[in-house]
Amino acid sequence: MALAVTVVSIFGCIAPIKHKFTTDFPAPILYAVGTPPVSDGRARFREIFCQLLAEKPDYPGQAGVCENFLWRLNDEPLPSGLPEPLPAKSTRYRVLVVPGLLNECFADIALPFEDSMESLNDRGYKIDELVVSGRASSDSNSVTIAEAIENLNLGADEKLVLVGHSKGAVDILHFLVNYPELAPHVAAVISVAGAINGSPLAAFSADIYNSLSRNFQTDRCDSGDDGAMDSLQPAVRLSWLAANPLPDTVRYFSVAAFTNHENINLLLKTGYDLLSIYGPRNDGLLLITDQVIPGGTLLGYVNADHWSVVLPLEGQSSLISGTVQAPQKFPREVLLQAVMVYVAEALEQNQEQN
Amino acid sequence: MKRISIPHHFFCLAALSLLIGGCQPRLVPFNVNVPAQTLSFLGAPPVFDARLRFREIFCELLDDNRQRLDLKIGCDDYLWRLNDEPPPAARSISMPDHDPGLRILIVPGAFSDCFEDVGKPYQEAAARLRQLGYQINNVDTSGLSTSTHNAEIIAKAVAGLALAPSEQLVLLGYSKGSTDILHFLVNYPEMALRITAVLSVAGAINGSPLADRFSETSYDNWFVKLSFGKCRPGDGGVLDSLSRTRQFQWLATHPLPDHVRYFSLAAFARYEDVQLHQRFTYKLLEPIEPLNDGQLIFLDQLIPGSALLGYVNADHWTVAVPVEEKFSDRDPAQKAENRKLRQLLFEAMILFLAESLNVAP
Repeated sequence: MALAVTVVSIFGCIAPIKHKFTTDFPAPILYAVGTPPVSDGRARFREIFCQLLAEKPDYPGQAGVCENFLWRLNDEPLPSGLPEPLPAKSTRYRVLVVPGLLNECFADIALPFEDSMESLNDRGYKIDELVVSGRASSDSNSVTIAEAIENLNLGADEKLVLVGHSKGAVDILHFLVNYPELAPHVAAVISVAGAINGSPLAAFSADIYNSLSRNFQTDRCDSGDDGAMDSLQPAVRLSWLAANPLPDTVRYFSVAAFTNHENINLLLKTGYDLLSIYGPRNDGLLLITDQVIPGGTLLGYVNADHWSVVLPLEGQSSLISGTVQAPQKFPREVLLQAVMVYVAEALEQNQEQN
Repeated sequence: MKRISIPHHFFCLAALSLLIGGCQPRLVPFNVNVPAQTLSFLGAPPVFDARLRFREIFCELLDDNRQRLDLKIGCDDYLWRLNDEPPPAARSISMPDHDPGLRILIVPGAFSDCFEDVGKPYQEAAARLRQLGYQINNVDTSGLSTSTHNAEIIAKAVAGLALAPSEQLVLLGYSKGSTDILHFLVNYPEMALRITAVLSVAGAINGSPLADRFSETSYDNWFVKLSFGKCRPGDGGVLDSLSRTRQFQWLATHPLPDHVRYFSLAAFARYEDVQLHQRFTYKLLEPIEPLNDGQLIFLDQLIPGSALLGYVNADHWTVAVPVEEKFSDRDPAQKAENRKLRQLLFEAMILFLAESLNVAP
């Protein structure tokens, strides 16, 4: 035994625990003790998503297509019955989309949902990007969000919905806590592949990132306080969530992402492999256990990697688009519409109950 | 005494692993500057925090017995203080009184019957509390069997108890014993009505990734097939019931009865403080989470809907069973201290229950 321990101690190297990729598993969530539980909106969200997808000419409504894009874990409730009619288009919603880590630096390549906004605007929503620093901490970016919202001139009957991708979702949560006087302007927060509990990869790569960041000077993005990676540390994130209850005037919704190895963007494959020690249900940067806002509603698990779920990389130069591995373009437009329809429906039900 | 050849088996496994596998880097460091956390299924009732009161009880007990037992350890060195634990109260509340009206059944963990003397948790501590009037019994579950199999054994033990109307029945589960208890509660709902509370110590609530690994076909249940000590064959499904994949699934689909009150005490330790026989498995779990006890990850040890009592700074065996006293070459003074601390820990748990169960939840 002593020899075995010595060998392990010297080489620090043991065959890793491997997990099988399967969706025959219930939705797992990592909670900080004391944070509120998450409720399940998957059945209704699937009805909405699938109905919208079936209406899209690019994705003809043949059976099975919807299931390709929305994973069904084994505890997802069955549909309640016939899908209810989708709500009519709404002019009451202002939507701001907050991008994630480093996205500002590569804004000329892609911003979240930028290819999908037009269709949502056609349906009566007013949707814009709210670009925050790609390299700054969430506290620093919360200032940017607060300033943008102060200057928004919301109409009396307009409701503000903030959509956050990846670290953008974290920046939004920091804004809500740091600016309680502005939080009542926000009706809902939608996290898409949000780094809610951070990522073990941030802990692993912080030193590398920080040394690269010191030497990375570009006109495209200022380093700000250079705290982005710290804001994504799991210990930092979970501690923050445990210590900062989110305002209960806001409704929270989460869309998580994961996919299998072959669908992972080439540039994300290393991250996927590193995270696979926890489980193969990850999107290349985040585990599914870490993508859900406590106290919110889980809308579903999309079959996409961390970037494909929001970023239109397919139409880019071959250098960029060549990294996209997914066999089919992910229907981001449908996803954005579906989350907005779900959220509008939930907010309107809320209003009726009040 | 006949020496059991565990070292040889562990060495074989280590060598095999090194041959088969590659390396997996540890992504997160050992860091106790984190809040209490739990991995749970969607819809699970939340865990709530009872660490402050449990610490008060344990620390006072430690201080009261420090001189008598010649203990030098600080309370905060034995109970981890994670960063979200509430600060001590300005005014301390007096220690609760013992309540021998609590009937305690202790359910041991996996492989417990393989090692006659060391598989039963808290035997010395229980002997002391019996002198105070408590009735504490062990449930003789099968060490190599599934939780379903052991649930039946627990049901028979519960059925065989003659309880006075004033008595409250508490099931204390250690490791897989906790899992066995949860299966009993679900499989025998009528018998479960007799249970007031369940206390899990280092409980394999979500199972362990180790079990999934060791039950892989490449290992072909090697662990179960080894001729350990005096194990009864049982149904041989111990690893199935410890599988994280299966146990997590089971929890998500089997709501626990809500008339029972649940309490969880978890454990984890630094690698250098883990006894030698658990260092290999600690290393297996470390890339997933360094906060583990050599068998279980800290966030897998909490019963959904339970009160969290705390995190003990001990490895999976040291927290409950005297394995190291029989097999380890650890410093004798350290072993003696661990034995005494285990006694105090058990008494603190019982005192905590005595107080909690006499107050409406």
